This record gives sequence, C-alpha cells and structure tokens, in this order.
Amino acid sequence: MDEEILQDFLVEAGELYENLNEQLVELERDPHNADLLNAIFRGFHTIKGGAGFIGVTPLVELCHRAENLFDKIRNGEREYAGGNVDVVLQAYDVIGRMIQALQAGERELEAADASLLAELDAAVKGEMGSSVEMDAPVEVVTAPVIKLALPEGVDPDGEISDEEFEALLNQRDMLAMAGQETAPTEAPASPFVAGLDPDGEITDEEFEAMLAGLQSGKSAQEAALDAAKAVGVLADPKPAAAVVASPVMAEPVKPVAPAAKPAAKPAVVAKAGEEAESTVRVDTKRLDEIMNLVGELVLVRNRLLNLRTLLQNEEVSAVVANLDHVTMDLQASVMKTRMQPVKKVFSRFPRVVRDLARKLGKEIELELEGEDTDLDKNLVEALADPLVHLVRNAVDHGVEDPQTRESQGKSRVGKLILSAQQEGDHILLTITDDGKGMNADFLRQKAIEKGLIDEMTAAQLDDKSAFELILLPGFSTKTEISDVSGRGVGMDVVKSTINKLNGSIDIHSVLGEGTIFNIRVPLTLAILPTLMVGVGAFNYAIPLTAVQEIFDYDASQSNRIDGRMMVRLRSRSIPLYFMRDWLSSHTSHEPLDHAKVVIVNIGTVMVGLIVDHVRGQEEVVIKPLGAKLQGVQGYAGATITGDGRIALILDLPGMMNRF
Amino acid sequence: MSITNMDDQEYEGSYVRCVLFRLDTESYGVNVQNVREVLRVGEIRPVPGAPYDVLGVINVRGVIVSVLDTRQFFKLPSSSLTDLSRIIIVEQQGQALGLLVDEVKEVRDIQEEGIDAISAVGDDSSNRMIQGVSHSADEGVIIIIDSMKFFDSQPSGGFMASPSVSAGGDDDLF
Repeated sequence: MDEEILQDFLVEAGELYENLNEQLVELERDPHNADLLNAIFRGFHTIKGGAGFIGVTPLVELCHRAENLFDKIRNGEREYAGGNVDVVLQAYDVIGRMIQALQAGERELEAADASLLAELDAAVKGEMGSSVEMDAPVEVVTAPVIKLALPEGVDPDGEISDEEFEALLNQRDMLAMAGQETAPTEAPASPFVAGLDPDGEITDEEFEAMLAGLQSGKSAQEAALDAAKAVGVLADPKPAAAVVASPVMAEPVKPVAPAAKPAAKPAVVAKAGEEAESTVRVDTKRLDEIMNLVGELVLVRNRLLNLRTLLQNEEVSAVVANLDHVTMDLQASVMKTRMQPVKKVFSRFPRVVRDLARKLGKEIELELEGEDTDLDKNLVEALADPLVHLVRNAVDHGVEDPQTRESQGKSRVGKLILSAQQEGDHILLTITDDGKGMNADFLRQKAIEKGLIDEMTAAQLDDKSAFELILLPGFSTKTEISDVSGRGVGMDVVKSTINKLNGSIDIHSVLGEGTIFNIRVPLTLAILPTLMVGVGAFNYAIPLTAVQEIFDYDASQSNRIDGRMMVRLRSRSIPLYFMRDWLSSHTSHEPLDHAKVVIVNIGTVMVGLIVDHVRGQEEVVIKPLGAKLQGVQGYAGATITGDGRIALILDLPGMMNRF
Repeated sequence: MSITNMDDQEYEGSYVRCVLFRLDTESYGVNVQNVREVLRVGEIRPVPGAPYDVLGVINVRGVIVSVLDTRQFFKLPSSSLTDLSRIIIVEQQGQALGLLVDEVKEVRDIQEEGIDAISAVGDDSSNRMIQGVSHSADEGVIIIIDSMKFFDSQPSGGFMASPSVSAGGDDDLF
C-alpha cells in the first residue's frame, strides 16, 4: 500500500467523514432534501472509491452498502427514518473507527460486524420486490464500477495501467450514453484525457474524480470538471497538470462542455478553473516549519528593536521600524494560513447531542453560532475533547427532562447554544443551556463532604467561586457513574486542558434558568504573551494569562502561618513562594530589596511568586526544550529573548506539582 | 585540528570517519556521520530540575539544544571550562544534543577491523556508550562511542547526585 496515497486518502476521507456527520444530522430534520441526499451519497461514495483504490476492503464493503441505501433514499424508494437512521449512523460510526485505525497506523482492518452489514443489506432491499426493474439503471452504474475499483484498482504500486484506464474510460462513455441521452456518441472524454495525461499515468486524485464522475452517473462534463479541479488543487508540477491548471485550462475541458450542453457552459467551466487555482493543499508540517521560521524572524526583529535603542541612529531606526511592520504583517498572514473554522469541532455536536438526548429521554435543540470563526488548527483539535465534555455535561446535568421542564413552565424542548466569536486576540467559546442551573449551596456542601474545602472556606466562597468548585479534581456531583458524564475524567481535566492552551474558563449560572460556560483561548498557540521575570541571573517567562497582578514585596506585610509564607490581599490569604528557592542556585533566601510579588492563578488557586525583577511583557515563540529535557516538569518550553539569551517558560501547574 | 589526508595512510577494508575528542586524558571518537557541528562554548543556560547529567540548554541559531555533561557519563571528575572546551552537536532523527568535551582534536579515519569490541562490564551508562576501542600510534587507545545512545540513556545514579560544573546547585529543592 503506497503510504503517500494512503495519507492523501485519509486526509480526504477524514474531511468527508466530518461533513457526513453534519449532513446526516441535518438530514434527520429534513429527510427529503435532495441536495443533502446527493451530498451524503457522494460522500460515502468517494470514501468507498478511495478505500477501494488503496485496497481497504472492509471500508469499501461498508461504504458501498451505505451508498446503495442512500441511492434508494434519494430515488424516493426508501425513507430516511426509523431503523434506517440507526443503521446508517451505526455504519457511520464504524467507518469513523476504521479511518481512525488507518490513521493510527493499522493496515489490516477487521471486517465490519456481519450483522451490521446484513442490516444494511436488509435496509437496501427493504420491500424491494417489484421495484427491481426500476433500480436497474442504478445497478448498472454501480455494479461494474465496483469490480473495477476493487480488483483492478487495487494496484500494488498505486498506479493504474493504460489498459485499466482505457477500460474505465470506455465504461464511463458507456454510462454517459446510458445516463444522458444528450451526451454525444463521439466520446467527449478523449480530448480531455489526452490533455490531462499524455504519459498514461494518472494520479489518484484524477482517478478518484473520474470514478466519482463515473459512479454517480454524472455527465462526462461534470466528471471532467471534477478531474480538472482535482488537478488544479494538486498544483502538480507535471507538465500535463500544469496545462490543465493554467489559465488556459478551460481549453482542454471546453470541447467536452459544449458537447454536453452547447450554450451557456463555457463561463461555468472558466469559473471552475479559477476556483481550482485558488486553493492548495499543504502539509501542516510545512506550515509549522514556516511558522517556526517566522518565529525566528520575530526574535531577530526583537533583537534589532533592542539594538535600535542603543544605536540611536535615525536611519537604522527607520529601517528597523519598517522591518517591524513587515514582520508583524508576515506573522499575521502566516498565522492565518493555520487557521481553521471552528466548525470543524462544532460539526460533531449535533450528533453528540442527538444521541445523548435520545438516550436520556430528553428533548434538546442545539444551536450553533459563529461556526466560521477561525482559530489555530492545533487549538481546534485540542478544544474538541473539552467541548464534548462540556456539551455532554450540559445535556446530562443541565437540561431537565421534558416532564420536569413542563411542570416548571418551560418549553418541553431544552435549548443548548454553542457559540464562538473572536474577542480581540482571543476566541470566546460559550456553551449556554436553559436547564436547571447550578445550586451554589449544594456545591459547597458537596465540596465539604468530599473534603476538598473546609466549612470556613466554603462559607467565604461567593456563588461564582462555588460554581468553580466543579472544576476541582475529585469533584463529581453525580453519585452514580453514568457512561454519559462523570467517568472520572471530569471537569478538572477540562480545566487543565484549557489551562494548557493558555485559556481560561468561567461559569455563570442562575438556579432554574440555566448555565453559561465561557471559555477563552488565544487565537494561536505558537506565540505566547508572557511576563518576563528575573530570578537570580536568569530570566523566566510566566504565561500572561495566569498573571493577576504585581506589587512590591514587603516583608512586613507577609506573615508566616504554619511555616508557610502568606500575604493578605483584599481579605484573602495567598501563599507566597520564593522563586529563588525553586530556581536559583544561590541559597540566599533573603529577597532583594526591590523584589516583586507576582500573583498568579494556578488552576483554581491563587499564589504569589516572589521574583527578583519584573522585566516586562514580551511575546515569545515557544520552543521545545532540547532532548532529554522533555520530561522535566515545570516548563512549557523555552524561548530566545530579545538579547539572544534563553529564557525558560514556566508551566505553573507543573511547577506546583513538584512541591 | 587537522583533517587527516586519506592518501597518507594505507587502508585495507572499510573504515569509520570519526571526530576525535578528549575528555580528561582519554581520547574518544564519534562517527562523523552523527555529528552536525562543533561549537565553541557560549552561555549554557542551566535548567533547574533537569537530570543531573544535563548541564543546560544552548541556543543554536534559534533552536534550543540540550548540552550533556559528557564527563559525568564516563565517570570522570568534573572540571571547569577552558579555551579548548567545545560542544559537539550530535544528531539523531532531527533531534540534536550537545556533548561538552575538553577538546576536539581532529577528524580521522579509523579502520573498522582495528576496532576491538569490549565486553561490557556491569550495566552502567558509560559502558553502554562504548562501541569499541581502537589503538593508534600517536593517540594510544581511542574509545569509539555510539553517540545515539546518549539520546535514550538514563543517567546512572539519582536525580540528586551532585552536579558537576555549573548545573543548578539547588536542585535538591525540587
């Protein structure tokens, strides 16, 4: 199995799979939407094509059946309802697991559960009987192609021979004739094919596009367009592809277009050509590299900015200022290339909510807002788990069952809103439910029972702080563990994940009216705003999101309780730690006269860190610590400061863990 | 440092090109294929809490590279830096690691047949690093080390073992 082709397939299949998720849920609301049905059909179909090409038979088998079922549904022979929905969703899940397994490096997949395949078959057959005759054309479309896609398409070297290609073409022409009477007998594909591929090899994208065109019984022209698009996206340096992707690309395609529908089409073709050129698929590793290099540039710029103040030369200043601007723009542009719409995470929630609500006998309407908000690719991925947890929690603990809701004068259907919006250099994600809200007293009581806080502390907590108790490790208000939420990995994991992303989470809740979770995360993970502090001879960077305030250290204001240094800050006692004890090789515990206290939030607790100097705010590029240091707790990485020296970036929770 | 001219010597069979360096009074060789570069010693930034054999990190053109206290590995007494001290950057699968050595001498081709395997005595880290020994007229015994082993070796001894040279002295607080 060609690894490269496989990876391409996985990328594509992954995207299709995600789209299918959304489309399937949407379809349940609107089961007769023809566009949607076609899109779903094509989705399964394309995954099947690719899977066949790389020889993953179990996946082909499954997709094939799903595809067949949807073919019937879109032809109005079956309904997307009841048992069909369940079996499709089951198949969908298994397909997802197969793709995941392939991504995880497994190459030999187990065949899908026989009973599932049988169910799908049954769904396809349904009350078939007399409608066989009607199905005939469809069967012609799929049956021969499957044969092609499987035994011959599974070419060990990932290329298909001229003969195979010819065979494919012939079939396609045949289909074009069968499917569309308007298609001319003069096989229109040849000019296109000649232009596309003089060397007799076709890439898998082209092949897939051909297949797609073939199997869905599309017109020759559409198939050509698909193929052209695929080639354009590829931006393959091969001369053949270059011809197609260049502005004159409409040329080889054109003969096909007018043939199919004489007038009005060339414009569309040209437009498709432009579209094809506007996107390029790039490996994220390459983007990471560019991001890294830009990071370097930012550091060099920082050093120049430092030098500028030393040099006091006007010309140098002007040039450096210019460089400063360009670097900033470059940084922003590169950052944008890594952005993905938050839709990528959101798209899974309709399904999550649907399944869970069904299981719990609740009625819930999910509303998604701001799906097009962009954020860093890594963040999109990292946010998925915490958001799933919060949404499940909201469905499980937040929204009441219909009876309770009605008895309280609420509408039967609970409402869950998931929204994303940009807020300066942050993204604000909110999860709002109109459920029962949280009971602060109950939470206080629970926390005391669990021994997480004592009664004194509990009494001091205001309601908002009481809500935050649920973020503590070991706090789970459900006494019974359900498989929905409360599986041990709880809110504290959500909290720590968000913290790791340099984000924050806060909770608003009104008893009986609902709960709002606000999550703020930075737009990107690559560049971190920090507070640079000096301890001993070295600089350390504290993530700025953790920093609450800074004030002068005054020994007379702090006192020792139980051998621990504490300081009172607005009637709260905050433990103090000498960073020198942690980080410096000098054992002098006497802080310098001008020492500062930096109050930071670590998880849900506040502590004061005593540092020697506060150097100021600096945006740093996070770099991994070198070999053999990856496991050392307490550091998020290192960075190179404006003066070219290395500063370690502190990971405060990790640092605290070590004591 | 001089690069020995291949023509000056007579070869039979294959040879390994090695970077020769000195630790204390002993000569060591490391396969040149694994060596990316040799650097003068600049500022080594200690990382408090790091394993004791890691001196700290350095900035190599924007990349953070850990520097090992190579003397520690070979159970040699620690010493202070001199003008001759160098950091050899060795590489493995894109990962880099710096080895602090007392002196880098030359690049020399060593006959593979002339390398005697040594039977490992005990299980300590220094033995596992050693591929074999070669004898030469001018350098005496050259210990050929496998630099790749540095990447995955666990230092022998505990975290609290006394650090040599300049790694953070207050590490026992961690």
